[in-house]
Amino acid sequence: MKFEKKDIEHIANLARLELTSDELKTYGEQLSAITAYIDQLQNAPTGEVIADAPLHNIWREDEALDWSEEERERALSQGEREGGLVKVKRVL
Amino acid sequence: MFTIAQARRELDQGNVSAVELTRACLNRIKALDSKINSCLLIDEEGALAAAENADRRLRSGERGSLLGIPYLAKDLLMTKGLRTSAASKILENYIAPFDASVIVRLKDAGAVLLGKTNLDEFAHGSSTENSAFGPTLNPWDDKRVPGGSSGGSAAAVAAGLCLFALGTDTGGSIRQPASFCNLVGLKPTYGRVSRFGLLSMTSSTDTIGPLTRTVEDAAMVLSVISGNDKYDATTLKSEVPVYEEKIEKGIDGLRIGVVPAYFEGSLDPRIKETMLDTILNLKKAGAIITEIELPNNKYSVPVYYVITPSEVSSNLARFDGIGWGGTANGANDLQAFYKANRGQGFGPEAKRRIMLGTFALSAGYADAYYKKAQLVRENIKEDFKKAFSQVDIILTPTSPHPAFKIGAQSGDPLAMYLEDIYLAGASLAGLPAISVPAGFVNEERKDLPFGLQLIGASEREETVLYVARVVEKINNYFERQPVI
Repeated sequence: MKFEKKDIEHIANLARLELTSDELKTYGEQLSAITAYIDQLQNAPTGEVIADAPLHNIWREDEALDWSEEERERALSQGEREGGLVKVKRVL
Repeated sequence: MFTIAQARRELDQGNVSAVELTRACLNRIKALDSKINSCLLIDEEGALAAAENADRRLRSGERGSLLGIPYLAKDLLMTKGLRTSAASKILENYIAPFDASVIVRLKDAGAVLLGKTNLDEFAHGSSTENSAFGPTLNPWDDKRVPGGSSGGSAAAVAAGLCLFALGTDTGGSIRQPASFCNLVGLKPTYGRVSRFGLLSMTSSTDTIGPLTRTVEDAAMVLSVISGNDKYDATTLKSEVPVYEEKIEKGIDGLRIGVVPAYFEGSLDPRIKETMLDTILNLKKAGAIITEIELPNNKYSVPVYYVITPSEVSSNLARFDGIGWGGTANGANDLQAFYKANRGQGFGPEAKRRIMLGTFALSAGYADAYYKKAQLVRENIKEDFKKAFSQVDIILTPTSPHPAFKIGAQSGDPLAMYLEDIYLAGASLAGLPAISVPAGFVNEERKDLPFGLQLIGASEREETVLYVARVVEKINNYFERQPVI
């Protein structure tokens, strides 16, 4: 897969990454080289479906643990806040 | 510096106190770490308080394998009240609000946390050069890397700054630095050790394990950190043995599998020669050497570099700059705010993996990349299953070469990915594997260590450890320590 600048811009947008024009160029080259290497997988003989692994769900009670005010403060120590709420930028 | 087992005897006999041991480590860190940059944070106050508490427990007659033993933890594990940065700018000021389950277990066992070690940002790398806080240097040669991503943990143990360190291994990140630093590095079976409180990289292969000087020490740490945890639904329910009690066994009749293809190609001929000697020694000790094939393992690196970036792109999506993480200024709306935070907060390799994974999972490409990689992964697992019907353990090199020079591979991500060539298979199959010191090569008048890898069947850490102990006893390489 050869990545053009617009492909990298598209991927970076999906990944929510702001990239400089230098980065767009470098990542284009590097991702092209890496996927060229990964493309050998296309020749690997495989079945069509992944066999059912012996997996099962594991459940536990969703219990609320008591956290002190200080611990709560620390958990959101870097966020911008207003009146007990976390403040975010406008969506639209 | 003591091994854990030696320190254990001294502590139990009252010849040394936990506070004295802890102070000795703190003093070595202060004196030496500026030369290797292995630590990102030192908690002197917390460590001394924990050591005093361990001494009280010892005086009251309590005994425990890690009671009073000072250690360092990779800075990818949450430590309550202490900065947990993942060596990333995006978490530069993040204070963890809780302890990872492994940290809780070690705390309960009375081990003394000294601080946090350097790593490749979010564990993305094989050299510790991808840290936002500068590379760690190899104590055996400061022009070279210590390996990665648990390079800070490896360099710290090799330099005698602590008695053991915790690392994480997703595709070789404990085993490869162990090889580069003359240490024992153990990656347990997937699910053996709880991942709760580990910053997720590749959730389907992430494991936590010890870096130590000896096999016995690795066993002692594994016994404490292993076991079922209700906060990690992938942890195994099976009983955890006291591993250190099971490491002294003969290998008469043990079937060791060797893959001939692994000894051709890019393997350093000096490493090859020494390893063939070791294999001969194991044969003399009664082991049966069997040639085996792992035909799909040649795909393990390409499979790994589809699955890992895919899971990385998903796991790192949570770093959006809201509540915790970076906070970029100037963005007007939410989308621009995310992009600015993530674009400026993540380093080059993290961004590369996020994009590669985003691509591999994107509409139109997910079948050709992600699904295909999962199908090949099934074949890799099947290879191992077949092999373990013929042999008890598989012996391979850990790395094709000794530690490389700083900067030698940093411009070429693909070359760096190939560091995992012998290592990614066991990760994708979730098997236990260890790197144990296997010799030295001389490079520009420096002795550089290298290790060999032993891979066991699922949940057979015990076998991995006792065979590693046999390898260790051949030359006792662990007795050699770097001069820094």
